[in-house]
Formats: sequence, C-alpha cells, structure tokens
Amino acid sequence: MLVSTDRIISSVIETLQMVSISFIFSIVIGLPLGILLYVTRRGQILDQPIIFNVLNIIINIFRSVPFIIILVAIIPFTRFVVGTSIGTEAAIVPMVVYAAPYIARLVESSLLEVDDGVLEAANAMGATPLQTIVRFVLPEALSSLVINFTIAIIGLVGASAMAGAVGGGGVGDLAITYGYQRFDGVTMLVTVVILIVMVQGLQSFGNVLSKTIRRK
Amino acid sequence: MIEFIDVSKQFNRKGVTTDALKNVSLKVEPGEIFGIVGFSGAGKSTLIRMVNRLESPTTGDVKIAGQSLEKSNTKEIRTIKRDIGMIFQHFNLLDSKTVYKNVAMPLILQGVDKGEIDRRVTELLDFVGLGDKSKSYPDELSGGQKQRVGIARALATNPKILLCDEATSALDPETTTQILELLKEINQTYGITILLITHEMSVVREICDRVAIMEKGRVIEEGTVFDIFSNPKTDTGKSFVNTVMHNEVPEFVLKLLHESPEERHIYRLNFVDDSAGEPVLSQVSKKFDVETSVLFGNITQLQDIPFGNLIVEFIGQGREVASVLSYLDSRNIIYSEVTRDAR
Ligand SMILES: Nc1ncnc2c1ncn2[C@@H]1O[C@H](COP(=O)(O)OP(=O)(O)OP(=O)(O)O)[C@@H](O)[C@H]1O
Ligand SMILES: [Mg+2]
Repeated sequence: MLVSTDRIISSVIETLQMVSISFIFSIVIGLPLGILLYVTRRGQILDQPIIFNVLNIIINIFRSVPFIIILVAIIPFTRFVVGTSIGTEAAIVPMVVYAAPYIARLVESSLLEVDDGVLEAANAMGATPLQTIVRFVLPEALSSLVINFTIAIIGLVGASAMAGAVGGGGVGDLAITYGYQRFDGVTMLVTVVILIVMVQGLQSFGNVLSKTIRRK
Repeated sequence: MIEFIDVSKQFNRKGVTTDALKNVSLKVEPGEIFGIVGFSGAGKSTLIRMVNRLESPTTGDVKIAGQSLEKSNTKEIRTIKRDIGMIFQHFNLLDSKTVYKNVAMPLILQGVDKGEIDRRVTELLDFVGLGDKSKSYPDELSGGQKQRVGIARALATNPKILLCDEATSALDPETTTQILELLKEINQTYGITILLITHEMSVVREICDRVAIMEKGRVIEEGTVFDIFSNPKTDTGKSFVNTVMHNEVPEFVLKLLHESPEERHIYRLNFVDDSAGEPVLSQVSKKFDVETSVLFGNITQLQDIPFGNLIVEFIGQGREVASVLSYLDSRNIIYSEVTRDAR
C-alpha cells in the first residue's frame, strides 16, 4: 500500500466533511423547495399551479443532468462561490447543486404520502397554512422523510467519491490517485471497503431513526 | 344555528360537471340533533362540509349562528371554525402524536397556555372514558377508542356545533351504540347542536330529533324523527324507514288483495302508544256497521314512544268504511290504504 493510515484517516474525514456539509446545505435549500412543490400543487393547501409548474420544470432540468456533468459544467459558479474549483470546498458546491433538487423531490413525495384526512382535520380546526405544514404534515411525514434523507445522503457519498476524480479530496480522490493511476490494489480495496461501511452505516442508522420516530 | 340557504354545488372534474347539491335549504335549530340520510352519492358529505367551509357553495349561502359564510373573509371563517367541531368516519387522527397531543391540537393552534391545555385535555379524556390512554398512540387503540379521541378533540375548543360525517360507519354495532350514547350525552350535557350524516336509519332513530332525507342532491323530505318514521312520504323515505321499522306490508296481505275478486278495505293504522290501538278498533266495531280484522301488527320504539303499526281489514259497505275513516281522522290516527302495488 502506497498510502499511510494517517492519509486514509484524513481522507475519510474529508469525505465525511464534504458529505455532511453538502447534506446540510442541500436540506436547507431542498426542504423548503419540496414543501413549496407540495403546497402549490393543484388542489393542495395553497393551490398555485403556475408556481408549481415553473418549479417542477426547473427541478426536472437539474435532476436530469448527471453529477459528473454538473461537476464540470458549473466550475465558473463554483469559483464564484468558494473562490476555487479544486479541493474539498469546491466539491461541496456541485454536490449541493446535485442534491438539493433531489431532496426537494424526495420531500415532495414524502409529504404527498400524508393522508388527506389529516389535512381535512387541520382545515376543520381552522389551522393556517403554516400551522398545517408545521403541526400536521411535517410530523406525519417525518418518518418517511428520514428514510428519504438517508437515500439522499447515500447519494452524496457516491457523489463525493466522484468529486474525488476532479481533485475534490476525500476517499474517492485516494482511490483515483493511488488505486487507479498508480495501480495500488490494496488502497483501492481499502477505499471501497470504507465506502461500503459508510453506506451500510448510514442506511442502518436511517432505518433505525425512522422506526424510532414512527413508534416513539 | 345552521342555515343552508338555497345552496347548490357543482363539481367540475375533467370537463364532467356533477350537481352534488341542488337548491338545498335547511335550518338546524340550536341544541338539536339533526340527521341527514341518503344513499351513496346523494350529496350528504358535500352538504355537511359546507358548514365548516371544507367545501364552498357554487351558489347560495350558509349561515352559522346568523353569520354568513359567503360574506366572511378567510380570517373570520377561521374564527367561526373554532366554534365547530368535526368527527370523521376514518377518525383522521395524527398517527405521529399521542392521544393527549391529538386532543390538545386545536388548543395549541389557538395558542392556549400549557396549564389550560392540560386541564382541558385531562377533563375531555376523562369525559370520553380514555383517561388512562393519554400516552398511547392512535395505532394502539380500537376503532371505538379512536373515535372517542376524535370526539374529545372535536370538543376541545368548546364548540357550539358538532359535525359527524358517518362517524359510526366504520364501527361494529355495539361500539356504534356506545358512541351514539356518548354523542347524546354531549348534546344533553353541553347543549351542543349536532349535525350528523349517516346511511343507517337505526342511527337516526337512536339519537336524532329531526331528520332530512336526501336524494340526488336534493332534500326530498324533512321532519321530526317521529313524523318521518311514522309516515314517510317519498319512496326513498319509505325504503329507509323500512330498513328499521319493518313496516313493509307482509307478503300474505298483498296476496290476499291480488287473489280476492271483490274490493277489500285494508288499511295501515299507526298508533302512538301501544294501548291506543285496541280501544279505537273496538270503538270502530261498536259505532259502525263494519267488522275489523287485524291482519298484522307490530310495535316499535320511536324517540322513547311506543309506536304501533297495524294492518287492519274493515269488512263492510264502502259508505260505512268511509265514516270509519273520518272517525279515525277525528281521533288523530294516521292511516293509509294498502293497495295492490303497496310496498
Ligand atoms: N371533490 C369532488 N370532485 C368531484 N365530484 C365530487 C367531489 N366531491 C363529491 N363529488 C360528487 O358529488 C356527489 C355527492 O357526493 P357526496 O360525497 O356528497 O355524497 P354522499 O351522500 O356523502 O355519499 P356517501 O354516502 O357515499 O359518502 C357525488 O356524485 C360525488 O361523486
Ligand atoms: Mg359521504
């Protein structure tokens, strides 16, 4: 193996940083967007088909571009935001651009699962639209949201590895520079195992969390 | 308390227009239990949902305690809704929240302080008999218990009106009886006006004061439970009443009518109070030149009054029978002739 254990540990930390920071930003952007999609849909709480359609198309456009393309296509934007186009920080920008619309979609689908009867009860109680979302829809959807967020964060782990291909740092970077370019099979294997453990860990954590929420 | 003024509602879905309500006018008085019955699709749900503005009329208006909903803005309607509780066929509870939180929800929405919420929720859960279930989740409860939570929640804000859309339709007969008892108790204890929808006449007979029968978006019959049950006017009304009263003319009587060559005078007589029937009949035999023969009879209970239903044949001259009928009129006895095509 051409890399030291320290190097592996630091790249794992880099990956965790990239994934968690981009995940947080993606939620901050994607969650309100998902809620907006949900409430503006025809027949829903706010019923604004025009806003819905515009938002829907924009999100579809972002969702149809593969991550590797986003990565290079938005380099000028990335540079504008973080001042550089290589390294961990630079990887976070395309990761957010990739995950936020995805999360918006996942949030929308989680919220749509909420029983119409619950909305009817909220309406009958005279709840405002904001109260309906905060007090009724989000709590009822929480368990499903957690499952969907788990899917999104695992997507980000994959994206972070890909970001490594363009010098984004992290475990993916290690695999490319040592495992692939220098034919270091052991490093390659180690990084793959690390990624598998991360994905498994996140999925199990998400499942357990979702279950605890449902069955408090 | 609730006034529907010439309410019509059209639904437009994919170019297809449905007239769910056609010029419905109804008045529900304060403190009464008013029932609406009708077959599936008659427009019952659409009508009840107008009361708390889950649905708005295409034309017409709904007044709550004199206040027009059409003339109220969103904020005013929200305030009116606090005076109206609703319970649902499928309960519509929040599965993610405890029984306590479910009942507290309407109060939380209004920003009532914690101590007050605690006092009120505890009192309500005791009232509906779920004092020990406050920490349970809805999926740990039986259907009847869930509906009790629904009732407690609907009562949280001390409403003046309680709406029930098929509130017992998902429950077994025994649980239904218990829930109906509870609704009756609520009506009597708090004087809350109850508007309920059902397709079961037994529910109406059990607790309603007045009832309206709906068909194809219209109210086709309306009256006190006693009047409707003792003397339904429309075919739909009759078939609903027959589901619980078993007032159908028995097969053998119809056969009698069909097979007999000469005219026969067969009448249905309805008596309030079981003792009233026999004396009148014996009077009839004494006073007039007719013989009476009771072909069929039963007695049911209607709003705590025994209600007798007799099918009687008067044997005698047509003229004599006519005087019998005017005598029955003078005694305020409801009767109707049983004809060959009777139902
Ligand atoms: N949101 C809607 N969009 C379109 N049509 C509707 C809508 N709601 C009700 N309808 C139609 O209006 C008519 C009356 O429906 P409603 O639900 O009021 O009947 P109901 O008497 O409550 O029936 P049920 O006993 O089956 O509940 C039906 O023909 C129904 O298809
Ligand atoms: Mg209905």
